[in-house]
Amino acid sequence: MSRAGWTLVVSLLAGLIAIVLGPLAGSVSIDAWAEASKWLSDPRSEWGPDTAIFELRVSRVLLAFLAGGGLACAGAVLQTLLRNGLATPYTLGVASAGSFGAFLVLAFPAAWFASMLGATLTALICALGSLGLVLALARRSQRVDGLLLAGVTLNFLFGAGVMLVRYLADPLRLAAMERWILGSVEALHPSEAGALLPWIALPVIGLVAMSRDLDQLAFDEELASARGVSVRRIRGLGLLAAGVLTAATVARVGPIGFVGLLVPHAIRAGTGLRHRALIPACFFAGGSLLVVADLAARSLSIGGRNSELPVGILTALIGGPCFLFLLLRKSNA
Amino acid sequence: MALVGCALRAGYGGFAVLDGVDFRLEPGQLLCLLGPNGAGKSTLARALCGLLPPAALSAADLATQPSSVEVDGDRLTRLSPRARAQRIGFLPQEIEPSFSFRVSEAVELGARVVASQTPHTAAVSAALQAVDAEHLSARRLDELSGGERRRVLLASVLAQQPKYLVLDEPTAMLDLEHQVQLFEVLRARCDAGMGVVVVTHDLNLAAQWADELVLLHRGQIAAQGTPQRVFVRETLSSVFGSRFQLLETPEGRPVLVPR
Repeated sequence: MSRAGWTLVVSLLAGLIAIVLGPLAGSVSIDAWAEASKWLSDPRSEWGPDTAIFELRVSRVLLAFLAGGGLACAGAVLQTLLRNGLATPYTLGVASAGSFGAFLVLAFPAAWFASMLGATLTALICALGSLGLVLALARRSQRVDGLLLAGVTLNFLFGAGVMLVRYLADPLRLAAMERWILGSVEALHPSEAGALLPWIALPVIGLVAMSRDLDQLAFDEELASARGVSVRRIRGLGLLAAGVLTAATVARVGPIGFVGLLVPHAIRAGTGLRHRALIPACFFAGGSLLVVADLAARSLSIGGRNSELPVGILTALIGGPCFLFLLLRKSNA
Repeated sequence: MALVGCALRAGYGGFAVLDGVDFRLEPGQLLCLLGPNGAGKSTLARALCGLLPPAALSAADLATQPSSVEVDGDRLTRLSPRARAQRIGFLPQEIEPSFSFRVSEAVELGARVVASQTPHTAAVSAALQAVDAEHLSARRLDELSGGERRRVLLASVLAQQPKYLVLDEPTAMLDLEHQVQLFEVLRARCDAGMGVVVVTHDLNLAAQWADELVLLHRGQIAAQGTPQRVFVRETLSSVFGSRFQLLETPEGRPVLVPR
């Protein structure tokens, strides 16, 4: 089997292992295997408190997996389409825009719009709007790093927007949202991951379907066009997919950085540039990485007590230096 | 059976570079496009591949004299982009890969235009062999010298196995040996029935190898025909100025020496 094939198989296995073993570990010690079989076979009325804990873990693992997979795929396709290895939902400000949109709806819920769907749609509008804006700004600036500078600018703007919403919103409601604001994959029921599933699965399947065209586009735009790729269409669809993945994820789990930056870089070393292997491998690897990161975050013990750290804090702490490392490597090259 | 451009008007952002150019390339023919900087060579090359929409000074111009490209009797605009790519291969002057591609990956991208499944590595290595670059197969494109890179890119477009091939300055950055080798490869393809257009600044290479020359000047054809017909002192000096000497090789091909 080729190197790309092996990378795909290994990331698929990593994904399966993360989903199966993820719920077995956590800060509270329970007899996980027994609770797992009880959760799978017994009716809810016969569950003990430990079964409920197990279900919380399953929900959390599934949500983390989808969010991590979605963010990694969004990062991979943005890097290809924008021809920049540092382009990710976070560095371009797309995730901040989505967070702002979702936060706006969640903090000031109008009765007719107070749902995760409402938050996702608002996040989507903001994310796609900011993507359009960042592309327009980058085109006008004519600089190599114009794209990233435009992203930094949008990050500031939407960061200010988030602070404004925080200032104006009801403090009680904010307290309830604190963990979302910090980026957390907490979930109460597996259906929460189920609700996110179509928003992740459809764009990922779409990206795999257009993987041949993405390969050509990654090589050279003019050559791709001469080789029969409808460059505008593929760019448009790819950016839409990245926007949907980012918006749906941040609306549900808040800001979680770094997955969309590092996973595509690591996976590309194994799969090469074939998107047919790259996109699914990024999905499985991104998913398992966030499951593991969340497991680490919720099991960490800080100052002798269990931290239950929102995973967004951990990924931001690790992601910052990694971004800097890639940036320096890029400017040396 | 030919690649034909009729009254071609093409340009960028409403500005027409080509002003009603008629062009014809037969299968088996090696044609070189010549002309000074800004004459419209690359624009003509792109237009022949359907990469530029027709541009005109006014809509009336387009209506009275429609600009069109036909490949073997089919209007390019009526073909699907993929069908077009299977008939006409194009190699731009320079390409900008967004990531570090391996040589084999780059060539395979060309082979994929023909094959519906993952193509055999045979097509890739045959194309690399044709340009004397098989030993580079495992290297990365950004580690190669300018000349090696050009040869790999040529292999990539050869792997596409098109009926007509349009190359924009393929000899730039090639040493003498590889320039000759490139034309040998192209000549062999022409003998096998491919039609090849080469945009080049190297008048002498063109005069040695081409069946037909098209000399462009300010978006129009200044001269057209065999090297002997185009390499006429008056014609060349009206386009390039007069600081050259026109000689002849023992085989009867013209040679231009700057002075």
